[in-house]
Amino acid sequence: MAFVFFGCKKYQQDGPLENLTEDLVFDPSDKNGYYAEQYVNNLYSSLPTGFNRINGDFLDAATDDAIPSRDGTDIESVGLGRISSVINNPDGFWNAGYTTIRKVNVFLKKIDVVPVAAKIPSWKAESRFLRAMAYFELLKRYGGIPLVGDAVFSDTDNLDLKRSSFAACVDYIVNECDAIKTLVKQEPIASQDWGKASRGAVLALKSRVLLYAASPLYNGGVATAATPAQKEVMGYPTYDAERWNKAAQAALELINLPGKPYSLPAPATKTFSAIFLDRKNTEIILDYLRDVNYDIEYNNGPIGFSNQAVGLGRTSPTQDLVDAFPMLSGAAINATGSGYSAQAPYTNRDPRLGFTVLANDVTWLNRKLEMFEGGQDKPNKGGRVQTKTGYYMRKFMGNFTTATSYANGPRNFIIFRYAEIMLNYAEAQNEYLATPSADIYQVLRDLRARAQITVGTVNRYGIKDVMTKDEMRTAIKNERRIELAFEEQRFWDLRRWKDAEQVLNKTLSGMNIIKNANSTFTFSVVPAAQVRFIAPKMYLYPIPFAETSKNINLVQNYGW
Amino acid sequence: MRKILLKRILQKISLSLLWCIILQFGVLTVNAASKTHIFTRAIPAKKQARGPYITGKVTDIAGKPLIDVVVQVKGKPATTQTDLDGAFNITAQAGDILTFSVASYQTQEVKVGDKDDLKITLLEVKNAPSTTFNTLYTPQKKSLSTGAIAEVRTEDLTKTTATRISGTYAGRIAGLYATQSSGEPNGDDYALSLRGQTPLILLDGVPQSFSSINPEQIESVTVMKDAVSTAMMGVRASNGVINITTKKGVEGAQRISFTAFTGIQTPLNLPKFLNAYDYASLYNEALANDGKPAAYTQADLDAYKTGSDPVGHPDVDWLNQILKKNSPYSRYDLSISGGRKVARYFVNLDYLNQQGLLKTADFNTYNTGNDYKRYTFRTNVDIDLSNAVNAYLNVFTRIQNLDQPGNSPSNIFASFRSTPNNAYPVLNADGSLGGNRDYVNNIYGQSVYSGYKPQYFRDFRVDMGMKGKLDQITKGLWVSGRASINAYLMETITRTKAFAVFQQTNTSGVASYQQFANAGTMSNTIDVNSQNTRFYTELSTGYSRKFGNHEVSALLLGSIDDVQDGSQLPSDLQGISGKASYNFKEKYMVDVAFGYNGSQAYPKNNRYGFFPAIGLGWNIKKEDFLKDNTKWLNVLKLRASYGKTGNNNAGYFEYNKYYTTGTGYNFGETVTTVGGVQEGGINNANITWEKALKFNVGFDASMFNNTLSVSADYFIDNYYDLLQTIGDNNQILGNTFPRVNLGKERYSGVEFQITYNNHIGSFNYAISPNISTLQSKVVFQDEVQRKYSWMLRTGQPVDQAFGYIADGLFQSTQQINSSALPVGITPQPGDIKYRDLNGDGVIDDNDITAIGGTKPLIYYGANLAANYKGFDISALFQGVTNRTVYLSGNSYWEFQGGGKEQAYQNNLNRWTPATAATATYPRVSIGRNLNNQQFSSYWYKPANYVRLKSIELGYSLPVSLIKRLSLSGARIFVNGYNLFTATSLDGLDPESFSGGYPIQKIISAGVNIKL
Repeated sequence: MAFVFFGCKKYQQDGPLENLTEDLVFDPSDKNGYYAEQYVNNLYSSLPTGFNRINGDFLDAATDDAIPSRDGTDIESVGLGRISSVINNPDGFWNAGYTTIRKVNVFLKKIDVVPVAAKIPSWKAESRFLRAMAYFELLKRYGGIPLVGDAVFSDTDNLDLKRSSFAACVDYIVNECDAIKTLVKQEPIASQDWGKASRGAVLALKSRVLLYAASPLYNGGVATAATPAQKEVMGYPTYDAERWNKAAQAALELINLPGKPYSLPAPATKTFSAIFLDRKNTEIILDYLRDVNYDIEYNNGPIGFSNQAVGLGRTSPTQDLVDAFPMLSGAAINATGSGYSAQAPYTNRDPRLGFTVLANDVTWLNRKLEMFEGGQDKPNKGGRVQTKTGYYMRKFMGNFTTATSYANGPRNFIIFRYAEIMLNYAEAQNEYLATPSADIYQVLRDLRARAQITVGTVNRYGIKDVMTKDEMRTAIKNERRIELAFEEQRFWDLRRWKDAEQVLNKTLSGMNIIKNANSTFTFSVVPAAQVRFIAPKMYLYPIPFAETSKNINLVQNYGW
Repeated sequence: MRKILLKRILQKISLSLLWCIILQFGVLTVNAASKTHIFTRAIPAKKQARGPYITGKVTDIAGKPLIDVVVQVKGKPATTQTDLDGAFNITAQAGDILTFSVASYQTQEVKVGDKDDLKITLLEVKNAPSTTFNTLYTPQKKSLSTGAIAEVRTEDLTKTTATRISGTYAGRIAGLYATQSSGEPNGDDYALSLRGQTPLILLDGVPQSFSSINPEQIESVTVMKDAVSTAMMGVRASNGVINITTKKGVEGAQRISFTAFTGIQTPLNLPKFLNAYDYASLYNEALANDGKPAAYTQADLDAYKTGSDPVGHPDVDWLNQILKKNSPYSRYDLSISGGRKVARYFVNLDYLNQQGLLKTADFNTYNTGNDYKRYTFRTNVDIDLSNAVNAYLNVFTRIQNLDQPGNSPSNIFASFRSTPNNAYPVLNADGSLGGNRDYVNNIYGQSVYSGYKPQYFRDFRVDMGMKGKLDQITKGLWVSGRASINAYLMETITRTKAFAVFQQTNTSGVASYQQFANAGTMSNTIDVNSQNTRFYTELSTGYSRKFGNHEVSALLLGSIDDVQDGSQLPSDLQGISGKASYNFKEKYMVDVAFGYNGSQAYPKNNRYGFFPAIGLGWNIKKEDFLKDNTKWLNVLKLRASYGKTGNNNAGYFEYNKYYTTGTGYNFGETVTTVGGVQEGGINNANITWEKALKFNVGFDASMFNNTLSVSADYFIDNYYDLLQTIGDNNQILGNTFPRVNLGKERYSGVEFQITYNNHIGSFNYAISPNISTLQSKVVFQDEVQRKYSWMLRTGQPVDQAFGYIADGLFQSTQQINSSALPVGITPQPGDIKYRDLNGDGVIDDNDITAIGGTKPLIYYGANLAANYKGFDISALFQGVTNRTVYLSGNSYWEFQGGGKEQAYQNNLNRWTPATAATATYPRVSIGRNLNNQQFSSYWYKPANYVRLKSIELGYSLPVSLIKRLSLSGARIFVNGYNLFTATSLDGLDPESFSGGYPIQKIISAGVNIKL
C-alpha cells in the first residue's frame, strides 16, 4: 500500500512555475536583462515623493504655511506635537529606508551575473544614488542611523547594530555621491532616460546633505543635556564654519556643471506656475515621475464645484504664508510705502502668491471663487470639510481658470530643482562669509526676476541694496519659504535652522471675508489653528519603540 | 502541463482499478453463491399443502405493508417472512404464540386465536439510543471508547432554526464554543472553537465543510477532542475533528417525512444612532472641546429640532429607510427512506428561503434585496452485493442563490456607520438623490440605484465505496476502498451601475442642484470568484475478532486528499494511518493509533510526519468488587489518552523564495510606464508542521438505572513548533521575517456533560447541561527584551491583549498636572487617565500590560426537554462568562473619519463638567483622539451572556387520528431562535457588536408529516 501512495509523488511540484525565482531575475543567460531592468525600475519607486502624502494631507500642513482642512487627521497630530516613539509616526521612514537599502544591496550583490555588461556600471551607480537618498531621508528624520554598507542580511544574522555617528553618515552619503557622479547618466539626458539618476541629481543630493549638515541643528547644536552617545548620533558635537563652505561649494559644483544644463527658465516662456507642469525643463533636476492625473486638483481644489470639477479642499494655506509674499514691487507688505491695503490684500502682489494659493474672488473653473462666509467655497454647512483659512492651495495645479472641469496632466513631485540649489548656495555662502557677497544678492534677484516681480530701481526687485549677514539670512529664509512652499522643504528647514521652537509655537491665522450688500468684501484676519512644537526633542523623530526594544544597541534620540 | 494532468488522471484511474480488483477478488472468493441474492426478492413461504396454517398481514401504523418481517412460532421451528404486501402464512395452531420481528420496529407477540386472517400493526422503535460513535473511518462502540468524544444526533439538530449546521449544535457539546457574529443571509456562519482551536470538519469521513446544509440529512455530529481519537488525521489532527455523518436508509417500509415551516426574522440590537439635533449639538461640543469654532449655528440646531427644513437640514433615520422591520424565513424538507436487506436508500430534498433585511424598490425590474435560497439534494444508497460485500453511493448537490444590490449588504452597513443622520436628505425636492462632496454615496442609492449582483454557488459531491469481508482468509478480516469527488463553483454576475447625487442649494428662492459623481450604465460581467475540486481516495484493511475474553481490532489505511483550489497547484495531502484496539472482557481497553502523512507544503527532504497516540480505558463497574454491591451504578469507565498531533499550518510553498511584482515607474520625457519586480519575503526553507502533545483524562458514568449519566474530561494540550516570527525582527533586515517553528502554548480545561432523564407518570423530562473551561498560556514566544515583568507576553493567555490600564477620567486640570501623561499629549478634563506602572511620570510603552480579562473562559449550555402525551417542549440555553470585547472604531466612537462619521447614543453619556460624576464615556472630540483612543482597558467591556438559543413547542396528533388520516405521524410546532438574551454588554449584542449585519431572532411555526 505504501508503494501506491508514495508513487504519487511524481506529479507533486515543488513550487508554482509562474513565480519568479532569484535565478530568473538575476539570470546569467538573460541577454537583455529583462527582469534585472524591472528590478531597477522598482528601486526608483522608492524615491521620496510628496503632495497629499500624509494620509491625504501635505507634510507642509504641519508647518506655519498651512493647516489641514479636516479635523482629527494624522498631520494635525504632527502639527500639534502629538508624536512619540509609541504613537505611529505618519511620516515614519525607518522601515521604508532599510527596505530600500536592502533592495539596492541585493541588486549590487547579484547583478554581475547578468550578461549586460554595458548597462551594469550605470545601474549600479543609479542604485547607489537611490540608496544614498534613502540614507539621507533617514538622516534628516532620525539623525545618525546604522550604516550597513553593502551587506545583505539574512534573518538569522545579528542585526542589533549600533547607530553610526552623524558625521559618518554625512561622510558616507557625500562619498557615495562623489564616487558615482561620473557613473550615473550624464547631462544632456536622453529623452527616454529622463527621471533616472543624473549627475545633477547626485550633486543636488550632495548639496542638500552638506547644507543640512552645516545647519544650526546639526552643526554643534545638539542639546547640551544629551549624553555623549546621543550627541554623536544627533549631529556634530562642535560647530565648524567650514561646513558652510563645503555646502556652498557643493551647490556651486552643480551650478557650474559643464554646459550649464540647469537654469531658471525665462519667465516670458515659462511662468512660475508652468515649471511644475512639465516632466522636464531646465529647472527640474530630479522629479518623482508619475502618469498623468489630476489628483492634486481633486484633493486640494475648492469645494464649491461639482462632478468632474469637485475638489476636496484638504489644504488650507495660512494667512501667515500669504503675508510672507511681497508686493509686486518686491517690497514686504509691512514695509513703508509698499502700497499694501488690508481691504484689497491680493492686489499688486508677488505673482507667485496667485500661483501658490487660491484667494477669494479669483477666477477658477470659469467662476469667481467665493471664500467669503457662506459663499459656495466656504458654505459653513456644519461639519463639512471646507477651508479653515479662506484660502485653498493652488500650487502644482494646472491652469484651470477658464476650463469647466479638471483634466489630466503631468503632476510630478519635484525632488530637486535649480531654485533650491541657488538658495542652498546663497544660504551657505552667507553663513560662511562675514558680509554678504554680490552673488548672494544675485540669487535673490534672479529668483524674483523669474517670479516676474517688477524690476524697480537699479535691478533691485525690491531687494535692499546693502544688507547685514543677519538681514540677508532673513531675506533668504523668506525667499526660500515662498519659492519652495508646499515642496516639503519648510518642515525640515524650520527644524535645521532651529527656528521651529519659535515659528511653530503660535496661533496661525486665516482670513475672514464678509461679502457686503454692494458686493464688496470686508477682510479681517482671524485665528485659525494652533501649532505646537516641543523643543528640543521634536527636532528629530523618535526611533520607534518597537525597534529600540528589539535592538538594545539603538540609542534613542534626546528627549524621547 | 497537459502531460502532467494526463499523468495524474492515469494515476487516479489505475489506483481506482487497483481497489476494484482487490474488491472483486474479495467478492469472487468470499462468497460466490451469495451473489445470487443480489436484487432478488424474498420469496413468500410456500403454502403448506398439509396441516392448518395461519395467514395475515403486517403493517405499520399508517397501514403500509412491512416486508421481510420474520414470523416465528414460539417454541417451534416454523418460521417465515412477510412478502411485498406484508402478507405471510405459517403453520400454526390456535394457542400458539407468533412473534413478529424486524429491524427498527418493536417486536410483537400475538396469540393465535380463532381468526385466521391476522392484522398485525408494528410500532416503530423511537429514538433507539445509538451505541456507537461515528469516529474516524470506522464506528466505535461507545462503551469501549478511550478518547474524549461527544456527539449530537439529528433529533436535537432539527430543534435549532439555523441555516448553518454549526448553529444547530452550538451549545450542545462540552469543549465546543460557537459564536455567530453576523446574521447576513449566506454570511451567518458560526465561528467554532474546540478546546481553543478551529476544528477540522469532515463530512462522512472526508475533509469538507458544507456549513450550509439542512439537519435532516444528518444522522450525527461527532466531536473528537483528544489525541487518540484524532491521531489518524496525522498532520491535521491538532485542532480536533468534527465528523458529520449523513443518514442511511433503514430496512423496512418506505418512510416519508415532510417538514415545512415558515417564520419571521427580526434583527437583534440594531445600532442606536444619534438624531440630527443631538448629533449637531454634540458635534459643536466636540469642536469646542478641541478648541475649534462651532460648526452649527443656533438656527441650524433649531432647524434640526423642528424638522422645518428637511432638505437643507435633514434628519434621516437610515435604518428605517433602508431596512425592513423583519424578513421571512421558510424551509421545506422531504425525506424518503427505506429498503430491504439487499438495498437501502435515503433521499432528501430541502429548500430554504431566507430573505434579507434590505428593502427593494418597485421601479426596479430586478431584485435588490439580499435574499438567499438554498436547494440541497442527497441520495444515499447502500447495496449488499453479497453477504460479504457492501457498496454505497452517496450523491449530494447543493445550489445556493444569493441576491444582492450593486453594493453588498456589508458596504451598506459600513455606510450606516459612516453617515450621520444630517449628512444629506434621501431625496431632494425634485426627487433626485441627496448627497454632497463629502457624502457621494447616498445609502438609498447604494441599495436600489446601484444595480444588482446575484451570486451562484454550486456543489456537487459523490461518495462511493465498497467493503468486502475476507472471512475465508481469516475470520474478521476486511478490506475497503472509497472515493469522494467534490466540485465547487461560485460565480457572480455583476450588473452594477453608478448613480449621481445632488446637493440642493436655494439661492434667492430658486433651487439649484450641484451634481456629484456621474450616473452610469449598467455593467454586465460574469466572474468565477472561486472554484475548487477535491478528489479523495482511501484504501483500508482491517481485522476485528473476539477470542474468548479477548477482543482485538486493527485498521490500516492509506489516503490521498487532492485539492485543486482555483489556479493554484493542487495540494496533495497523503499518507497512511492506522489504529489497533484491544480489550479484555470489555473491562480493560487499549487503543493505539497513528497517522503518517504530509504534503508538498513542506520542503522535499521533510514532508511526512509521524503522529502516534495511545488511549487506555478501565470499566470499573465490571470489576467484581463493584459488580454487586453498587446496584445504583450502571457504568463507571475511566479513560486517559496521550499522543502527538500535527497542524498543517505552512502556507502555499512558504519554504521557497520568490521575487514578486513590485511597483514600477514612469520614465521618460513622455510617459513610459515600466513594470517592477522586487524580492519577496524572506523564506523559511526548513518550515515544518506545528505539533501538539495532548493529554486527556476523563470518566463516563451512568447511574440510577441510567437516568443520570455524566462525562467529565480534563485536558492539557501542549502545542509547540508553532509558526511565529522571531521576536528580534529588527527592521534593519529590510524585508519581512519568515515564520519559523518556535512558539509554545498550553491549553487546558475541564469539561462536564451531564444528562438526567426521568418521568413522572407520562410526563417525561430530560435536562442535559454542559460546562467547559478553557485556559491558555504562552509557554514560549521569542520575546524581545521587556523592561518590566508586566510587559511579558510569556505566561499570559494566548492572544492576550496588551494596553494601558485606564484609571477613569480626569476630573480637573490640577489632576492632569499632577499625573503621568502620554508623551506628546496634553489631556483635558474628561479624558482617560492611564496608570503609570513604572512610576516614571510618563505613559509610554513601558506601562503596557495585560488588559481585557485574563481569566479562563467558561462556557456552558443546557438543553431541557419534556413531553406529556402529545405535547413536547425543548429549550437550549447557551452562555459564556469571563468574556470581554473591545469596543472601538466607527461603530462605537463618535465622529470618526475626520469628523464625517456617525455618533451613537452611548456617546451621550460623555464627560462634561456637569456630568463629571456619572459619565461613562470620555469627553467627545472630532476624529482621532490620541489620548482616549489609545489601546486601553477603558474600551474592554465584559460581554458575558446567556441566550435562549432555541425553544420549540410541539404537539403530535394522537395515533387514533393519524391512523384515520393514513399517516404514520403528524406534528405541529412553533420554534423560537435567539428569543432571549441576558448580557452584561450594555445596549449591544454580545456576539455582534461591531455595527455589521445584525444576528437575527427567528420565530417560526411548522408541521411535520410522516407517511
